[in-house]
Amino acid sequence: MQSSRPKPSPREKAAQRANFLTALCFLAPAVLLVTVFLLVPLIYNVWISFTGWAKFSGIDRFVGVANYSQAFSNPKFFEAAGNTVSWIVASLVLPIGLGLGFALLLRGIRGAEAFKTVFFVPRLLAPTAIGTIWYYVFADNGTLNAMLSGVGLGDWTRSWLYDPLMITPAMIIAHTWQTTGLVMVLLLLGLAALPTEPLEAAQVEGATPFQIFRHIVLPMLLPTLLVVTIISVIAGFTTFDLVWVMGRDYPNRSTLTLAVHQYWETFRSNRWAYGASVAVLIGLIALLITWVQTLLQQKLEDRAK
Amino acid sequence: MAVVELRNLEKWYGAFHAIRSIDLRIEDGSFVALVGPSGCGKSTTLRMIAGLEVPTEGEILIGDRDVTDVPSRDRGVAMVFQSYALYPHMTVEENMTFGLRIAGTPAPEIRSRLAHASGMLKIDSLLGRRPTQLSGGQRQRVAIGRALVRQPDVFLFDEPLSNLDAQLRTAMRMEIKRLHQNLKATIVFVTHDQVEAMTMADVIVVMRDGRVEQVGSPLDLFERPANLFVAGFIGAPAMRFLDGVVRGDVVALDGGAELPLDAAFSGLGDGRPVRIGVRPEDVVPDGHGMPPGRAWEFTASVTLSEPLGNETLLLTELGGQELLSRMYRPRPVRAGDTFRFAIDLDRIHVFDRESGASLRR
Amino acid sequence: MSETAIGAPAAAERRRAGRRSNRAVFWIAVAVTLLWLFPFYYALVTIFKTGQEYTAGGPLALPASTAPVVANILEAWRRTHMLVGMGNSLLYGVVGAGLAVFVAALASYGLTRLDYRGRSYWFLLIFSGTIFPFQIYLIPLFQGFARTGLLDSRLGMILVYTAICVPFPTLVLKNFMSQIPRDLDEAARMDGCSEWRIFRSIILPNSRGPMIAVFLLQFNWIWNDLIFSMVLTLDESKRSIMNSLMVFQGNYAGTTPNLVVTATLLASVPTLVIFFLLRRYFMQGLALQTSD
Repeated sequence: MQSSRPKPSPREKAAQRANFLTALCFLAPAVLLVTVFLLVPLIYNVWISFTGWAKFSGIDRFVGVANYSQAFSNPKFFEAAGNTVSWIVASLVLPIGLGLGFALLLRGIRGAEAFKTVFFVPRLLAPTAIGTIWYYVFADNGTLNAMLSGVGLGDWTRSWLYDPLMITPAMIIAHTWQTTGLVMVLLLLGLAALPTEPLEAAQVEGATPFQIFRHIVLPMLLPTLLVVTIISVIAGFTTFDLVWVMGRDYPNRSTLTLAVHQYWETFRSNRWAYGASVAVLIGLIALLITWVQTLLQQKLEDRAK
Repeated sequence: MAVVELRNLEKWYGAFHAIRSIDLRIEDGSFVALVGPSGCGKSTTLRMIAGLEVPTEGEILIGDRDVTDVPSRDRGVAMVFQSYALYPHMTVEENMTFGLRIAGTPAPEIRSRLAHASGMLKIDSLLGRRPTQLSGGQRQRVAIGRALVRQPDVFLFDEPLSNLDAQLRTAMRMEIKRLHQNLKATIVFVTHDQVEAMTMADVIVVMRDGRVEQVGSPLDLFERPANLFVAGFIGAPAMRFLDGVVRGDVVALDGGAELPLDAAFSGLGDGRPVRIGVRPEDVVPDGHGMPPGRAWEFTASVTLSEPLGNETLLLTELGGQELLSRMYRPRPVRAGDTFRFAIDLDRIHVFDRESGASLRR
Repeated sequence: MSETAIGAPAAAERRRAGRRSNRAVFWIAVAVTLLWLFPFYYALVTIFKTGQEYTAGGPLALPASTAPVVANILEAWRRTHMLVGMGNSLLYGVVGAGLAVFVAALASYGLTRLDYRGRSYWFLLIFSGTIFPFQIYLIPLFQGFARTGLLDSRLGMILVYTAICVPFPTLVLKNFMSQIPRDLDEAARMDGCSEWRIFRSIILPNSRGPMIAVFLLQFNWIWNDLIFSMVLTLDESKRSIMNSLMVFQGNYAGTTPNLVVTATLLASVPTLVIFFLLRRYFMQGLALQTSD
């Protein structure tokens, strides 16, 4: 009678090892690609951010946090950061608000599929393309100014794309136009997945549609909303293509958002180590947001239990 | 066709001792059923024979060849899975010939084997269909066909009938048994249903908690169960048990009655706690069955009756302990009706209450 | 004049109204949708104008005739060297996304069909590629490519795009493959298959749907990319289509809006074509996005 023997026998160990080696063969291409082109560069970028380095001069001295303090004392950086905050807040509120509104509007009506398609198409198009079109909307001789003059609000026309106060809202509008579609479709899916019984029960109890929405639909939608929000926010503040294209006339491109700031300082001003540090900062912000999301998701799950 | 031998087989999953030292010899051409409750290890044992699980200790021999370290495809076995495991993206024909095609079997050979197997299982008309277009019974046959074409030394069946409805199940039972007679193949058949095991197998292996409780022919297990577990597991409706204590050459049952013991049970120590096993067919209501040779009679009232048409099952009590009786040529019975019952003393079983072992000499 | 102003009253009104007939909602939805689509109106109207027509009339004016569109297309095509741009993006997209999905399928097989310790860590390793915003890869990739001669090369672009497009399909296919019953593998093993054969003949054919969906998503992403092409290519012969478009748009000399808008639409045609032809795969891919 054998006593308790939890360790695997030599035969089982050999089988496990063979399994693992086979698995490794299947995993290898993916692991190699990701490591070489993504993970190693990531580490390298962090390393660079702590050195002083001008393009190819080969001087790699360790300078500690000099690049980071440079960033924090750079007014352009701060303006870009401020704009980025606007982007974060806007991409938190606008696509969700609009998306939710549209989702509620479109829920269950005839031809919902057609509406969904129409709202969703901008999402598929390149941000470059979107930015180009909206550039002409906000251009000096563009559609917005034309529409304003047309309805007699000629005094309200301005150079949207040159005005420091107006450029960011203008770009945010273009971006929102693009991303609301996706949010709306995801929310529609979420709404469709809601169980109908609680809603019917509330109706029987005499709740108005607004009350039903606020007290029943919204809480049940929260998990979907959360996921959708995070996608929206991170996409929002890291967006480059659209900002680059729409902001082409803007004199101080480097202050538009952190993403553009990073590109400009690195590839146009040749401040490589500085650019690396900005990239790290952007990454940290993204991590922070993801971390907050995970926390909130945990809280939601705990509350559901 | 080949002999299958399991020697000292053990399997641990982490800290769970799934298979505790099994020794088994399956003769060439025999139909062996591995039967037992869920979790007893029958499927694990089958999968080890198949090569899908690696034993922690022990050897597996097929046809006198040690195959413990040999991969499944070289063991000469074929398996029919509980869920049939048909490849959903292939036609029936492709499903059945897949293994042969991989092995590089020449096309004429493949065709003839396919024709033979599909003819035997009457699935020739289904060859071009996909599994999703087949009924459960048809899928089952295809799964068996897939095993057939490989012409293995040993066929392994893992609870293949559990997903079929009752009628189909009985029909397939006959088919598989007929297949066995035609092919004279070695079959190892896992099931949790002891009726299946009894009707189909030449040899039944009763398992519990990773151990073999008893090996024998269906009749062996029925007439001479080696312990309480096998006795209660084999036979439907199940055997009922009466607790008592040995006094000389009788057993004093709890509740007062005294049953005389057969010569086969002589020599048991006085005061020994035992459990008497009585099958329902051996508790005969007066006038409703073959009067037994050596009988012990008692009168009792019926607490519950289950009319089955050809017979009625009567639940009654002896000294406060439950007994089931089979009433042949039944007439209507109500709870509370009294009967005179006769227990066939030649057919009772005596077990040691602590160890569960049979005390038959 | 923002879309916020248009959306909010509609949504608020609906909430206020209580019981509302479906018909009214429907027409409101139509109105909202039409307003939402005005940039498309603008684009459509613009491509039918000549350069002078555009500057003379307002940007929203209807075109005089549909004739100019052909000249616009030809001119835009020529000026942006669109054949080169599209050809590059097609190459990057098909090879990059195709390779990525195949590699992801391999990895997913390794992650779901085989048993060994530390499976989830390997997955995290692969998936960690998507956690960080791409800014953090730009400088090292540029430096690395410069040193290995991959800078301004099509091979380099393909490699980068493939690597970036591996993690998400891996997630999707892993989730999908874990639903395929294990006894198919076992039956195949008993039929004599090696692991590679099981992958090729059993798992892959049964994963076609998600693989196509995810390929389309990744192809679209590569097609739309601007930044990686900007950073990692130098000569216009290697540029992606969006990169070419951006350069054209930023070029002040003689680029009138009608040409730029035409070029933009041309560059977007493949996306739209793919979408409308294979909508069902796209929607599948979308559902997969929410399920992670």
